[in-house]
Amino acid sequence: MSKLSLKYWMIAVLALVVPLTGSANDEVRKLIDNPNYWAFPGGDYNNWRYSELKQINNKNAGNIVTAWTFSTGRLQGHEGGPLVLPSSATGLGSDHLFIHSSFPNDVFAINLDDLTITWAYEPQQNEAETVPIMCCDIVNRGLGYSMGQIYLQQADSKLVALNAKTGKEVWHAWNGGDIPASLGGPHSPKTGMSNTNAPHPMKDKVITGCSGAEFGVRCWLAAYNAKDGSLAWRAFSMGPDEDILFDKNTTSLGKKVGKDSSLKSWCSNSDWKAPARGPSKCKGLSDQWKTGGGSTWGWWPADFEENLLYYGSGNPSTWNPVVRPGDNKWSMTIFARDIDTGVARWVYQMTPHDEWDYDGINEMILADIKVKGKKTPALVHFDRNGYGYTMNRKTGALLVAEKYDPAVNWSTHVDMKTGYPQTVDKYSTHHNGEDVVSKDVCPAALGTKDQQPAAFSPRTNLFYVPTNHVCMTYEPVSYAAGGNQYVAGQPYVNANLTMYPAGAVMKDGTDNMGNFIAWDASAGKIKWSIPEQWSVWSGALATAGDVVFYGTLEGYAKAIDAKSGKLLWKFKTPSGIIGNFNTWQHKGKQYVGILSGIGGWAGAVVAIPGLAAAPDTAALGAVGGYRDLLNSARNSGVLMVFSLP
Amino acid sequence: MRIIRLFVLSALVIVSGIVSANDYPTIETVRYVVNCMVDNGGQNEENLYACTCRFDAISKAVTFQQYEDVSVFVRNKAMPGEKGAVFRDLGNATKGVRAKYEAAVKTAEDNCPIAKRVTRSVKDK
Repeated sequence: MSKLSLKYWMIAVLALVVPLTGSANDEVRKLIDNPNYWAFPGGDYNNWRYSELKQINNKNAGNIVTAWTFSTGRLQGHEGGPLVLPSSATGLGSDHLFIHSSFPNDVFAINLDDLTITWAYEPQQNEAETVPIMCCDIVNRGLGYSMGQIYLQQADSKLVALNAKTGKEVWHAWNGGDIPASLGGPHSPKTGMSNTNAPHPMKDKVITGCSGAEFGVRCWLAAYNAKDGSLAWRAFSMGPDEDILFDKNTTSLGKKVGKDSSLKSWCSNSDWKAPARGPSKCKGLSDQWKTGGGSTWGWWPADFEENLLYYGSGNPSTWNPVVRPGDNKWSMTIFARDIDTGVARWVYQMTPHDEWDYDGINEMILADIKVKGKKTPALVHFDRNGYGYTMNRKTGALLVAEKYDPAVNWSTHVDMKTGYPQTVDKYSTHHNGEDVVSKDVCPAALGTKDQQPAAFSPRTNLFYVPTNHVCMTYEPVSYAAGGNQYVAGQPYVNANLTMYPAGAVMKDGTDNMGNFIAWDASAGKIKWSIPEQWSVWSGALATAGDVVFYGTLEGYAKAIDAKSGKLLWKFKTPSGIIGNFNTWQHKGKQYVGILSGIGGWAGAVVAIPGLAAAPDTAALGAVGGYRDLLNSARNSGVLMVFSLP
Repeated sequence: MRIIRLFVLSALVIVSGIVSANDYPTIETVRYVVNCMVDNGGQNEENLYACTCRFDAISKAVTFQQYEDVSVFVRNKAMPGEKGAVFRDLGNATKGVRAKYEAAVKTAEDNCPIAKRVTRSVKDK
């Protein structure tokens, strides 16, 4: 028996033992294994954003040049990055790149052989209805692929499967449109619900999320069957067990959470004491959870051995914590759910009773790393609340919770037994009360890091994390002082904020508003940190060439050495960068792609009082004065593609 | 803080009358000139005179760092939501450098009018 056939024989035996996981999934996983392609938003199902390609390396990265560009024809913010797929997946006869735009979410299939557009999908969406209810720019984070289909999650909540070969719609589903009135639905832009997340194909399903916590939408994660777009399961972030798909075995930090764990954490009693520094009980219950938020718009990995997917939920609604005493479970929570059934195996609430808008939606990264000397199946997460968490992804045990920006001050540390952050009274906006301004809280509401995903390199065992270095004042607005009562489809925020560089609080003479850091998730320590003048809002990429890529708001695409952080190359793109770097190889050449494009849409600024409305209205008034400069950034929304000469 | 640095810098320039050396990279120089020409009706010799003249005036008045700061500020403050709010909140702090930039643009436009071109008049017909 030759070696080859022995190997095949072993695989055949294994196939009998290992339970079937679905052929669709195997197809995507095979594509992921080939570094020539980029088949899943996070690069692979671990969300590493790491490529084995090494043609571009830390010796030659200084020579990188622009290879080609593609303008999406749309302005405003461009997040996410392209997918790159072979002919075998799409039936298109050559390698193709698939790229999306900001609203109205056009999709383009670009032939990499001759750089022509093979097909374009231009959805018709109701702009007047959808755009004003998108709280935080009209971004879209990209596409998913499986079973010969490209998935697009439109802003208006329509999930579409396109035939990868023709660009024609195969099926669509209105994500949330089928929720019965008894569960608070149906949801759509009419009720303030929208979508910004990339659809994540897993096995024979497509996973999608929900935005709208600033409009009091009770959000969810949903799995649609890739075959026909029918709903497989939906799990709300809060509510009774049957809504949130918890069963008797669901645990948190190793303990069973018990029946209706969410309902029991929304109190009616105003004597409930903030901040939440440990487990508490409600004297009476409220139904604030029905408009409880907990949105889901991050980047989600899967562990197929455990058949689990992982994601985080966003802020509880509204931003005024005083009106929702209790832990507000399961907002601000890491969930591990069964991919087939949606049932939660374990959960961990990072910020019980949020008082600062520290959404827990950021990406989850899976890596088998040594944690405090012991090989661990880890989940690593950089939360908006400023803590870098390392957990055992199988059991949900909390292993490390350390600050990844020294400015973080709202709590002193996380109690490793209870998992509760130990909040400092003077930064507790609930403790300080409604209509009182809490000052110098770090980080600011957009967190030490927002959704822009970090990368992990198995060569250095480091996580590369784009961060904010910003603090804030926060004033919860009472109903008596003009806060909005909940009305479906209307902003439901009720807080005033101002934000400024963390150096103003730390009094260390610095003025930078961002850092790009390398993080050791085992020790919970920053290995090195590169100060950036502005917050870093691009996703990172690490490669086997020991190069790490990220972008800045000035518009610089940067390549740094994965070990030392030394700058190897930078290039000024036409606009600011808030997209993610992806890489692929075509005809023997490695390419790196990034969307450049930031814009603003003045209409939405006035649509959300307290959130977008600026205290500095003078700055808003100055918009007109800069219109010329704005217009001359006419190349907004450009996919920049780089390679060696 | 940067904010302080910006104020200090602009004060220095005003008080001492020192003009900064042109530290603008080629890519930004060309980008400015090309965009300016397009904004004024197209790439031709006449627009080239005005646009290079304007660029020289602006690049003498504000450093590249300041030019970049203003560009980032303007782009981002129009973003909806918290991301834009960070920049809107910085509004007052960056007022000094923005005012300086705006003044430079105004001066540049005043001192560098678009050159006229003799064309065949419609009266001919």
